[in-house]
Amino acid sequence: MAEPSRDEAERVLTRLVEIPSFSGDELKASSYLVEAMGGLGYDRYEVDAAGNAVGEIGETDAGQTVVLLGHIDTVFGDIPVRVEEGRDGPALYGRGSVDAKGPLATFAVAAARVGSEWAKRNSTRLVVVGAVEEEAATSKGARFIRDRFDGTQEPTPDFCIIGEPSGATRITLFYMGRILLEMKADQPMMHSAGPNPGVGTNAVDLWNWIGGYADSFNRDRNRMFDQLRPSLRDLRTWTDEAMRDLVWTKIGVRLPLGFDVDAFLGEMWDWARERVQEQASPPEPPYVRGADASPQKLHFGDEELRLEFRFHGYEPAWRSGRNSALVRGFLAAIREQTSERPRFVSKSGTSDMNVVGPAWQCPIAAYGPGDSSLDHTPNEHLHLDEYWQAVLILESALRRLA
Amino acid sequence: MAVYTVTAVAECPECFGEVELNDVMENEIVQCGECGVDLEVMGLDPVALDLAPEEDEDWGE
Repeated sequence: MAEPSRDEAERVLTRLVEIPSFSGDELKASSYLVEAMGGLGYDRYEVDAAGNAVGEIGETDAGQTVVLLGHIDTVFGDIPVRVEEGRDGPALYGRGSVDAKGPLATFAVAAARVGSEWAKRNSTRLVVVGAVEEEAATSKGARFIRDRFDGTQEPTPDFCIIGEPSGATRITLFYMGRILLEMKADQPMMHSAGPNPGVGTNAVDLWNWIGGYADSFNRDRNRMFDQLRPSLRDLRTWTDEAMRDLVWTKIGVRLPLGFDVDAFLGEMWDWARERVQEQASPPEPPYVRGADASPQKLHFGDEELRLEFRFHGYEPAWRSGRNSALVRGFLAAIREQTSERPRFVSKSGTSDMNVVGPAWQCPIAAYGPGDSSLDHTPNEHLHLDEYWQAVLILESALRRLA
Repeated sequence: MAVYTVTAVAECPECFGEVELNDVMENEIVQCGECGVDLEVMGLDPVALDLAPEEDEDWGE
């Protein structure tokens, strides 16, 4: 089968961007990508039980397995799909063009260019995944793939490439971790002229407590990626029909490598118990390690003041090594296909690398064309020259794994 | 997978000190023992070193 051309690569990308696929509503896009994989000569292709688009090249019992894990969902936003000519050549505008249908289409086309014949000759199995719900804290698609390739049902991958916009000449090796915390406090309704400063202060005090914890932790840690970085995402107060005043807040915390999240939460529970003057033995601390993404709740207090904590979306930070066959292959491929020096990137966000990295423990890197500062913006667009360059670089990097 | 390695002594492009290379592969990242800079093995025959890729810091995804 002939290698997909640049025109074909652009058709796949454009059609993928044209099909809306907000998190939780990806079926149409997954179905399209699976159909496209069939047309590109993949050996096997299907929408799996999680809704992921999955295509495979090579034998299932090959000597090595390479998982190319992109995501097919996007955040909300309707950006009219169009190509505009600019100083840097044609650019495709559309939601997901950068984050991360550009990288996903790069995977789909580059793997097809490597092809079934090469994969069988070199005993390599390429598994391209367009995972669902990466933009949601659930990472449903990546968790499904992580559990499928668990070393029992299917072999643990020998290499993994995550589809995110690093830029065509850069490789992402580090993502910070994250945990999302929600606290709801409620107390009997009271007059604002009274001595109680109001239910909202519970949220403010929690935010200040976390800020103080972060300041203490961050002392002598000068690099952003070594720091604990909280952000206040939401805060609301209201009074309900039961005549109780309520406050609810949501706080996200970006986590550095090796951060002891259980110790952090343990101290937070101590803060909560002290606040409600709870003398009873504390609730069992719901340690988050191994708790995956399941939301967990913890209650403190009584009728005078009740605090309810919920935490979810925990992902540890993950750093990949620089001395692997995967990274060496990318460095050589970038130099082969461009005149630029390759660069490494660390990112303050999270990706599906945080989900599969700890489980698979294999060489892993995130790669894909695009400027990640355009992620989630109304101006999201991908330069098509860079897209094609990334296809050729990835094809070359994959061939170097043989 | 055919992997070629080399054991040799090469010159650090940063401090011009000697860098001992033991069983290194092409595109491997090594460190100069004298100045501490990260280096990339650019070639094996002859052995060539260059400064390793720099690390950018971005936000996202």
